[in-house]
Amino acid sequence: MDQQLHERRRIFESAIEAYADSMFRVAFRLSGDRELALEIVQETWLGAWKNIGQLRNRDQLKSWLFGILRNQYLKSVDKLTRQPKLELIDNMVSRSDGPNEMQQAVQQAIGELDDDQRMSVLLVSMEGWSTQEAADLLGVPQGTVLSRLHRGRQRLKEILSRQLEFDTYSE
Amino acid sequence: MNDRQLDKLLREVSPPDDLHNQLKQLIAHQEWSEAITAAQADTSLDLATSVQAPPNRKSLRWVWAVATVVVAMLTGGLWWLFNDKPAISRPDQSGTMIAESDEQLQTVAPELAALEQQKAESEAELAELEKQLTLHYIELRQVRWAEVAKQSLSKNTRASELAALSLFTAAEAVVLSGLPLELVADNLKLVLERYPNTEGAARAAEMLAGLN
Repeated sequence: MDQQLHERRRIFESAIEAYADSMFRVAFRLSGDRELALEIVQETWLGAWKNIGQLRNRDQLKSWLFGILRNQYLKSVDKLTRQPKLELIDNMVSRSDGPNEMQQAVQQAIGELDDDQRMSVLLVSMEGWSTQEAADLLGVPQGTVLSRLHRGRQRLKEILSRQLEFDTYSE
Repeated sequence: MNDRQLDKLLREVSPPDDLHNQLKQLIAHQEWSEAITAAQADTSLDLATSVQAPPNRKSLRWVWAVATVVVAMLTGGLWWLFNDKPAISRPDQSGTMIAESDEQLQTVAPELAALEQQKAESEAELAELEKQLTLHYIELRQVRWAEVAKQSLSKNTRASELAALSLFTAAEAVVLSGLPLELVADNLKLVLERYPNTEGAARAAEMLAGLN
């Protein structure tokens, strides 16, 4: 029993070293809020700890963890949309990552993508996943990930270029 | 904007400095909570049952009512036995009356014994209820601390302080539950090792000194 616990802790500690930062980045880009991202990441690890028995193949640990993260994010979105409107507005107003306007513009642009495109862009472009890994996680063919990625990136470039142009003219 | 610029912008997110430590503490706390739960499940005291079905006020009232009746009957019986009754105290009573009194005494004796037994049973039941109430209190306190620690971790405030206190409180609960002290000693050492310079660690050190 002790040995099993020790082994489980060892797996988790090495997984934290390997994936925690990446999970935080994805959670932040999905939610747009540092505190909420931290909460999503913590809930993800707690969920993983409780359900590690369901992981049949250790090689799939990464996609399993990010699958839980995605579910936690969807849960948090669901919770937010059920809040009274004023509270929701407050949350949206507080969603900024410091004074960096460019980062806010990036966050806003990512927010304009649909969920499928956003997840593909975050995993592949931001975290360096292969399109096959992303396809496995999202449960779609690799070609679908490629097309979502392409369309998502094009859309981001359009929005951000427009934003930069606007900033330049307004200065 | 080109692809390289876009990728650079997307990657500019810095996680909190202590993210890894926070998550490891969270996992350690979860592991400890599970260990405590397992230990409780093993013990014959059956904490889970005491939490799901805490002693209710009705049964306590019933026990008190029985105890009161028993005490009243005992007092009455003793009064009857030792009261300065004319039949026994008068020196000029005949032998017949004394024999009658002896007979009455023999009739009362089994009743008295039965009442004594009822009283002992009531006291045992009261003691058991008190034990269950104590265990219930311990469990509630543990759940409360675990909740506080979890909330504080998710809010990112004084995480190690509250985690240490939570662990200490759990260890304290184990001592009160009568589980093996070795288990507590190991876990108290864990508190000292993981969360030095916290209130929880100071209290854990005090308890360790007491155990030694």
